Amino acid sequence: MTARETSIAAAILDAMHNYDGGQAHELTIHADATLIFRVEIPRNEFAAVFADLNRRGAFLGVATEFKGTLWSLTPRGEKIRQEMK
Amino acid sequence: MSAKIKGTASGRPETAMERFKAAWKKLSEPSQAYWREQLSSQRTQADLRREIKAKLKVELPADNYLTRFRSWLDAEDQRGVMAEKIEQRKKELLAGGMTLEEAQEVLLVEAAAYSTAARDFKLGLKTSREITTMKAGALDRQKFEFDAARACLAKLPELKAVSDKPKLSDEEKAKAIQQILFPQ
Repeated sequence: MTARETSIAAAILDAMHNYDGGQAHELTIHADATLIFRVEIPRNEFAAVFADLNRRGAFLGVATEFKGTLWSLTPRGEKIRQEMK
Repeated sequence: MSAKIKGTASGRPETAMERFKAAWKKLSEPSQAYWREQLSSQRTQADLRREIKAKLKVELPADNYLTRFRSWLDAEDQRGVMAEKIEQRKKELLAGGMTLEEAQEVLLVEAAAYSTAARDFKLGLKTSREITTMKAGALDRQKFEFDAARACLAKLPELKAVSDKPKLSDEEKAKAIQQILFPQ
């Protein structure tokens, strides 16, 4: 991961940590991560980092009937977040 | 002797609040509906904590745990509402002819507006509506301009023929070209 990708990943993980075990839609996570990052995160960069973190087991995605897929942070994701600090 | 602290994958001991939230997530919808009713009722906090301990086997040490849980539940509900709105809007935008990428750009602006105004739900909705209208207008214009350029390319020989007619005024040529590009 490049330094920028790591910073984006940290912003995503911080945003999801703030949900305190709760779930959110990917676009909401993107918006909240952007607030933490303080600069707009381009959609393609966000999607790439999010997919990479998901592959590493940082998130749990639950498909719903009307709300799309809702994502929450797993304990592994919290561990990755702590390691980035 | 105190109970052994149970470790979690993150390495921290599991708190009462974490156990309560884990128990909440395992509840069926009717059970959650029951507890929502209890949490918004006139019952005392102590009474609720007793019932939670008896039925969910989670001991909340103090009344403020319930206050914090209610705040967490409200935030969860708001995010749930937002997720539903996002999916609904996505369908509307896609049905309106936008590509998935264009729709996601609009939706992202809406989600950002909501997040920044998250403490004021009405303001968040109002802001996101205004930004969406602006963004959708800009995207409509872009789409129109691109479609017009594509139509010009396809009809170039006919446009040239109109342009070459010496007896037509500029206004007549413009109307003829308009008719070629956008037939009524």
